[in-house]
Amino acid sequence: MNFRIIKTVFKKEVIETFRDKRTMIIMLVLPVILMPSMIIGIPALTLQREVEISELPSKIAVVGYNATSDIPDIATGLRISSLHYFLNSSDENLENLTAQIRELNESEEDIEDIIDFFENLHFYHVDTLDDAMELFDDGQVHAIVEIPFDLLDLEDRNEIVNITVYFDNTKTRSRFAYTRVNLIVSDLYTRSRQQEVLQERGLSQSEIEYVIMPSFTYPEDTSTPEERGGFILAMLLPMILGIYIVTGSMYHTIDTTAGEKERHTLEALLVTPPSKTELVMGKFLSILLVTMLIIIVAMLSLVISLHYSSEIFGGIGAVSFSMSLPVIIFLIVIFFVLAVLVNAVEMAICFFAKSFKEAENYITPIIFMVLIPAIFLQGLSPEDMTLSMFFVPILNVLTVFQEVLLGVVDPLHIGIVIGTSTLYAILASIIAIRIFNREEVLFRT
Amino acid sequence: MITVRNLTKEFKTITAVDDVSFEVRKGEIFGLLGPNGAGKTTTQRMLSTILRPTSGTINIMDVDVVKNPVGARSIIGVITEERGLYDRLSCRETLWYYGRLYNMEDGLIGKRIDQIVEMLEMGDYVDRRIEKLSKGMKQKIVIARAIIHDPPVLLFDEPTAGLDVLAARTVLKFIKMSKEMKKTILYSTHIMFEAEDLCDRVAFISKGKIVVSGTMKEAIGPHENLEKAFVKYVGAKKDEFQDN
Repeated sequence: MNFRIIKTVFKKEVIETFRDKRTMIIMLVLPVILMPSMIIGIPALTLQREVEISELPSKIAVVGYNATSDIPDIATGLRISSLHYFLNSSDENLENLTAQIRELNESEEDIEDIIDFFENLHFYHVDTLDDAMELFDDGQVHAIVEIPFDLLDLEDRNEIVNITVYFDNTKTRSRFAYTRVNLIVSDLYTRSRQQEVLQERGLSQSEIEYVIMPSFTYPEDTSTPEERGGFILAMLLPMILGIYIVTGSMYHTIDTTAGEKERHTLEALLVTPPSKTELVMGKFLSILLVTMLIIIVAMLSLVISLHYSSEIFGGIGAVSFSMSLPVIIFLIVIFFVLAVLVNAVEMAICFFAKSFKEAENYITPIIFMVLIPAIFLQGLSPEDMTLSMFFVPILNVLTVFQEVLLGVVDPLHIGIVIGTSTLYAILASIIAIRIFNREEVLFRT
Repeated sequence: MITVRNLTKEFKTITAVDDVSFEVRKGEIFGLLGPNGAGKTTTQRMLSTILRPTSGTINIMDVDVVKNPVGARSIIGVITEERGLYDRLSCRETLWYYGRLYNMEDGLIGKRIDQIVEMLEMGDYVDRRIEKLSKGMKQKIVIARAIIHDPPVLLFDEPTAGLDVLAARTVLKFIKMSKEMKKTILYSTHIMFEAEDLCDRVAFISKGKIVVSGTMKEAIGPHENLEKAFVKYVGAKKDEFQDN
């Protein structure tokens, strides 16, 4: 093995690649533009749309009980008022409602919120459900509330009141309408009804409060920002970086293998003294370098994008993100191992192809070798991972990668993955060299 | 200098080269002449170590080409019909690349490049990227690449095929120049007037077999010129070459 030769081939291939616009675009422009737009752009757009929609009023059709005949003189909280408001969203009604809320001694801020909330609900009384459905299908209303005609009778008899809300879960505005209506029906109405019934049963106010005292769940996320950042990364990274490993140096791989055949440079190369192993080594190292550069650029871009994304979406359930140096080093090592394997396979395939186009056709399906395991792994947590997964080529690298991103560092798993992957990579390299040594492959016509 | 004995190459279904023997003496130009598909390129590729013979021996300057291909590669220079160059490298970078592949010392490569650039008059564009050069300029780089390691033996396989007149003249001029420099040359072509102009001795090859071999005079024999003789010997066996 002559290292000067390997270095010479390596250097020449790298120079050629860096002078190739196509590879440079894939290497730099894609990660630098695509990554931030995926991580910042898409959530920003979605979020903006949701905010916009949440500010739009919901139009709701009401079928059944007609409350217009009942004057809102009910002193029991917001029950009928809120239902009345369903039907008569007039200013007068709103004032009435506001007055009642004030009686409940809510703070000014809460009152503002409540009024805002009701102002965004527009109710239309419709005679039949069929008519309402027609409006709903036309998009003129976003939800339908069906209240029994004999609401007051049912209440008098203390029977169950069934209120149905029709909405379309696939439409954002309909979902918003449902959420708003649901708040009135299941929260305001139900609670005031409970209060009423209990009062009739002779319970005192304090007893009632004791019985229907709402219990609140305070969510307290025990995961650290790293864990949450890791979770998002664990979802995204294997897929994104896997794609980069397969596609990043693809043109360079084709160029340096099938490309040499197509441009007829292969023969001149083969009449020089170096062994085919030396030539393959030089070429392979250049492919690896390109892949790793792309991975590093992509990771940097990802880290920066995530950082900004958590700054932008910080208040809205996004994760703050931090990555420690050992984790970064580990990631680079583990992706190096994956790159060796994938690139060796790609190279073997490309040596077989006789033209650029043929190589492209052969190499494209390789992306599934990475995509399928990456999809399989999505949302899998460390305890779902079985030991056998750490032996399957490609899947094992993605698995241990996900594990580390989720905060589990298992030396056994890492050892198995690095060991087996190195073995697979050596096998693939040997196959690539073997293929390059077959004259019928080199001179396929 | 070059001794080929009973050389045979079989591919899956065909025998491309069938028991071919010939000898190229030191300092001479030997023409391997035949129609397309006769086995010229396969023979050349076995001599240049790219293909392994099915049987037979090739000896170049006492190096057994089959047993020691690496040793053989450093004493031969190859120019073929396929003139592939790396477009994104400059001429000088290309020559450096091949110099290193031939395991030459850096100092020597530099000197040799200067020498070749002067000899082939490439000074104006030696540092320009190949993609920006004309066909004639590229042809000179192909020649320069083949002789960067100053090989005593040159193998030419249809070197003028597909070239325009001027570029072809560059190649033919170089072959003559090489003869003056006492290089041993195996030259295969199907263009008879080129061969008649250049070669000392020739062999006609058809369907993988040598049909006639000897000095130029012997090959022409009673015929008016080499082309007529070629048609007579080779055309007799190959209908499409039958003339009158």
